[in-house]
Amino acid sequence: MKDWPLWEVFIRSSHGLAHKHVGSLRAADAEMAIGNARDVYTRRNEGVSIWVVRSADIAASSPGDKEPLFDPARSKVYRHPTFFQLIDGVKHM
Amino acid sequence: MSLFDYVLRLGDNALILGQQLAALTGHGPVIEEDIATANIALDLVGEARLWLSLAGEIEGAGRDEDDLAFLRDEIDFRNLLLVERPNGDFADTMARQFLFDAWHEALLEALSASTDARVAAVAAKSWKEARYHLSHSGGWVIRLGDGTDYSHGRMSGRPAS
Repeated sequence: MKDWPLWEVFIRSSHGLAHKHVGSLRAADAEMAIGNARDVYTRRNEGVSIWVVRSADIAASSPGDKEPLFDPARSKVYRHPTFFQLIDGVKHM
Repeated sequence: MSLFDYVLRLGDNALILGQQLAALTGHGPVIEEDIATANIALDLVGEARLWLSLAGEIEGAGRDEDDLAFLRDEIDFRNLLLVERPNGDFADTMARQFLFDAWHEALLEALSASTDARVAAVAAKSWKEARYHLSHSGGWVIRLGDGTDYSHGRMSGRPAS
């Protein structure tokens, strides 16, 4: 059982539209991973839908690439749409 | 058999098996399975409370769920002998669970259509839980049956070695 692969678990709550990452667990196959996720992560009525994906199948950015990946966006404030004049009557923007 | 006796049987089955599974808490082969087992134990104890409360109500002698659960001698329990089988190892536990779940799920589905509204209500609530229990233990029986020669043998009734 220590050879079981690691799975990442995503739960969609009854209030949310998107599945959110909630944690990880070990399981022999996808069916067991969903069952385990149900038992570990939805005991308190947290979810209406479960996704599981093998952790090994997730490609992640490297922490070492943080500067080239994310720093260039810092100086580009114009990408935030905060400079527009809103016409009267537009609310909740 | 009176309705009281019948409902008492249902409560005793769930109570004894729930206690048996609860005793495994902290001893699961992996933490995920440990939590699953504890969840199922809690489902069964919860179901036992409903049946025993109803039994006390039907009896009308002033006994509540606690009186029926804790203040009877062992000879007065009406559970199936299957649920008294020792937990044994994981194969024993799962085989016992699967046999119980397969019966329990079908029974609760049928009782959900009972003409007694109280029986139907408890059965309908517990049936949802029992469906999950059956898919959990059934999944393990298949998985162990498809596993090694040893696990296949254990699911076919061969004793532990």
